[in-house]
Amino acid sequence: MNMMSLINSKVTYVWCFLAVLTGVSWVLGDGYDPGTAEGYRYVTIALLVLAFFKTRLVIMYFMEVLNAPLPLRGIFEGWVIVVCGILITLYLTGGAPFV
Amino acid sequence: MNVTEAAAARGKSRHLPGEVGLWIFVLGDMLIFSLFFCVFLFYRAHDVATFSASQATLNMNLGALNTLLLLTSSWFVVLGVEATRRKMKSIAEKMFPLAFLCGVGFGVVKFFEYGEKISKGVTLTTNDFYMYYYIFTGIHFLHVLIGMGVLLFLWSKARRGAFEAGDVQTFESGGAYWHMVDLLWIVLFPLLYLVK
Repeated sequence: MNMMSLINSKVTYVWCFLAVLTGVSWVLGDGYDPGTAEGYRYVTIALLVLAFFKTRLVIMYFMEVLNAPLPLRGIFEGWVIVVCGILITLYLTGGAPFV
Repeated sequence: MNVTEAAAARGKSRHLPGEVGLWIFVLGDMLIFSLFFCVFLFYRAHDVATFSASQATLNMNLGALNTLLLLTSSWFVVLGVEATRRKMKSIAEKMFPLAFLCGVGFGVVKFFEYGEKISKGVTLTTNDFYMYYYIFTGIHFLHVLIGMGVLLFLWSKARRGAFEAGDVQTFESGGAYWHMVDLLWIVLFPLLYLVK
């Protein structure tokens, strides 16, 4: 067994994917101009969904909850969906985006 | 395919990494931060103009850089924990200090970020946005510092070659805590820096 056998695993691909998604959030949140207030709302919702998708990847593959006992996995799956849903709802109760 | 993936693929058993108490702590901490996230967006909805104007002064590049640093440190920790399971001492004792260095990088970036704001007179009392910004990122940074202490402890265990079943559980627990620190920042970053 050597270093390569350790690195050549799913978690390394997950790490690369997470880095790419961070880049996507960065561009979407900083450089991208959708032009309208409505457009910015969609961008923000996309950013929140992306963030929670990333947390799920960390939870399932880095924290290894994917193969943990099902009740624990269920709690985490629920956390991702419920908190993401509440945050999007709270965001949408705000006024028009100031851009 | 690692050990746990292989076990799951055979459908024989599910594995709880780390100790039960650690998971209760992690879930409790995540619940508290979830409340922070909700409080932030709730008060933002009442004063979008101030929150947006204040957010525009933050350095998004530094926020994103810190996200990448924590993701990378998490990856080192995953490799380190897997190395302890395979009793690969020479690799395990390299991974934890590398993860620690990423934590140092996070701290350096935060130091410059806070320093730049404070030098311009922007403090906790400037407005609600900055109050939440300093409190939430400050509490998160406290978690980073505790996590760095945990990483040093895991490093010393790895150097001693303590890789028995009970030791591996300790590595898994410490790793899970560090990943939690990572995932909380993954949400804090877009909330504070990017939400329009």
